[in-house]
Amino acid sequence: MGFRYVVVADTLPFIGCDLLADPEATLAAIAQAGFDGVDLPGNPERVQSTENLRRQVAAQGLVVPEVSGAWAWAYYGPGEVRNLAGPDEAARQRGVEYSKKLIDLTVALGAPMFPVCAMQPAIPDLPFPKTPFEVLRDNFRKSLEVLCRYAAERGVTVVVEPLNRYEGLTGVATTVKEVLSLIEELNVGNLGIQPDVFHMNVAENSVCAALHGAGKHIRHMHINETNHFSLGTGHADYHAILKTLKEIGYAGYLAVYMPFTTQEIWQRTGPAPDLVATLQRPLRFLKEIETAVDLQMAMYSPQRS
Amino acid sequence: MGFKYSVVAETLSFIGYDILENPQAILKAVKDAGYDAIDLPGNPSRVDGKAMRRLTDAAGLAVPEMLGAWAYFHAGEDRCLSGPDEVPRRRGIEYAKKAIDLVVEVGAHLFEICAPQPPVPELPFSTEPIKVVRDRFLAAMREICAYATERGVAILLEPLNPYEAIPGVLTSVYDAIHVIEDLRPYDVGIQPDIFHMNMSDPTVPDTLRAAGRHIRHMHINETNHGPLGAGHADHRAILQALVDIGYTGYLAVYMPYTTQAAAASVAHGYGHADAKAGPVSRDLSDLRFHLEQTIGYLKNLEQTLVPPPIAA
Repeated sequence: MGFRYVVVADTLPFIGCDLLADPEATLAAIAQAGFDGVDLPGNPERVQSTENLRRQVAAQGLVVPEVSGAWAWAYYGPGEVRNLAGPDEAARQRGVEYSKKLIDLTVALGAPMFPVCAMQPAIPDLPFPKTPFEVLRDNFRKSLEVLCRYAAERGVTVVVEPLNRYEGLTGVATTVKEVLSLIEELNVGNLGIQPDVFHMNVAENSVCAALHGAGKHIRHMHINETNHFSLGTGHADYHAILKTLKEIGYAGYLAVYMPFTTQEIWQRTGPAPDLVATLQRPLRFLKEIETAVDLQMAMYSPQRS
Repeated sequence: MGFKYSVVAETLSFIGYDILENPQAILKAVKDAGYDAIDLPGNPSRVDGKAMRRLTDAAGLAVPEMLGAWAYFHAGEDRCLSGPDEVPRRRGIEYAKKAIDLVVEVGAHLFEICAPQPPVPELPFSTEPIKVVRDRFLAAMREICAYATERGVAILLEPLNPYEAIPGVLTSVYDAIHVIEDLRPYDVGIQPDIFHMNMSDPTVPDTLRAAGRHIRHMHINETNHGPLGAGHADHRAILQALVDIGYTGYLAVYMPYTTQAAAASVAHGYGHADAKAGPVSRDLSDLRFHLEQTIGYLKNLEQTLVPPPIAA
């Protein structure tokens, strides 16, 4: 069976598009480009009516696997620290309460998944956090426990995205292995992993080995490039990545990032590129590779006649 | 043929050592492990250049470069050379001048400069137009380059990843090539770094070939800052690219990130500008282990390289 593809709407600003400013036209372009769905922005302050948005998504025949957390977690998004792991208990509580709001939004938008991260503070602690790993990890585990319970009552799965060490807290959730240990320890049915190629390129020994290790715990998958530009301009090995996902029987979505373009486009001071064409490019690129992977795997299949 | 090897002294903090706390023993360990040189910290408030020169001479080690402390987590203060605030910019320029004096004192010839982000990084792009921040960076660089030229010091640009440096100013080797063009006729080269290139450049070996003769020093580390081989950098292909472009500089190797406790045990180095001093004297066995493991890994790869193509 082929992969299903969704756009991560939080990355549309990179190509000069804001889904929440014009949902109808943007969703129509996403559908026209050939995507199966969209991960909607986790931005409750800007979603005027969840009912309307849900209707608009459905009208285009799109699904919403996830309500994204990028705006919720990165400091440069909301401009305040919402930390689920840090030593500042007030920031942690803020993070937990905000997450609950986003889980409510996830439910209202009909999505089954919500992502969380263990973020660095605004001024990142490098090369290692100053607070001992054990303390940070324990804080994050406590936050996850509360959020998984809250999400389970609402039929939502929580996915943890390991971030690179500049965005995420090393020793807590910057690698797949760290997240696996939390999943094992918490042992709840609604906690999974959302690997991201860009972050894995910085943190993991090998992207594919980490995906193999994560196996059935992968619930959602971020596809982007090692330098955040267009797929193919960096050095991510998508053939190997898609093949690995098929080998481990991944049946979820490939959530595709839009590329960084220019500062003018991102700041909306320059003309945005054609939306449908820009959306189509990574989709065509990935589908072409998927076809090659399928053919290659069929050649080695024992059923081959 | 054969590469020359240097250790980037400030990365010793990742394995729990501070070159300035115990210089003699550390320099001896570096020499014994087979290194030819050591890149010293460009820290004018802590390094006595003349004394350090005597120690490195006595140990039989060259000092090709002094490393600049630019990123906030490294410098412990904002030295942003491109932002709208004059105070950090002036602080960065004055820091560079003092560090260049130190480069001369210690007998080195290279000083490293980056285009650091402010303490809270601006991502994915700076708030101000790239042209504005880049022009400020170039103005600061011209002042620094003029100072360095009078003292016979060459400036090396190290493109950092976008979390540490200003995107579009100096976050890729291509950015560095353009900066060099704009800074002509000053003596400016590039110091690529594998860890950063992995996040910014298309592929590391292809980019090194494109940079060619601009490469004057080379940071050898791993994509995840672990020990060489623990990430996915293709070090063999990287070394082959350096051979092919006729690179004759040093391989300046990083020590790996080890444990939070090791990094926290030193008072200085990356991320320790405000740390309290930790234990000074310690058993040097883990120092020797990491020094030997790193150079051994690279020298083994070196055996597998082929000579550069002969120009037609």
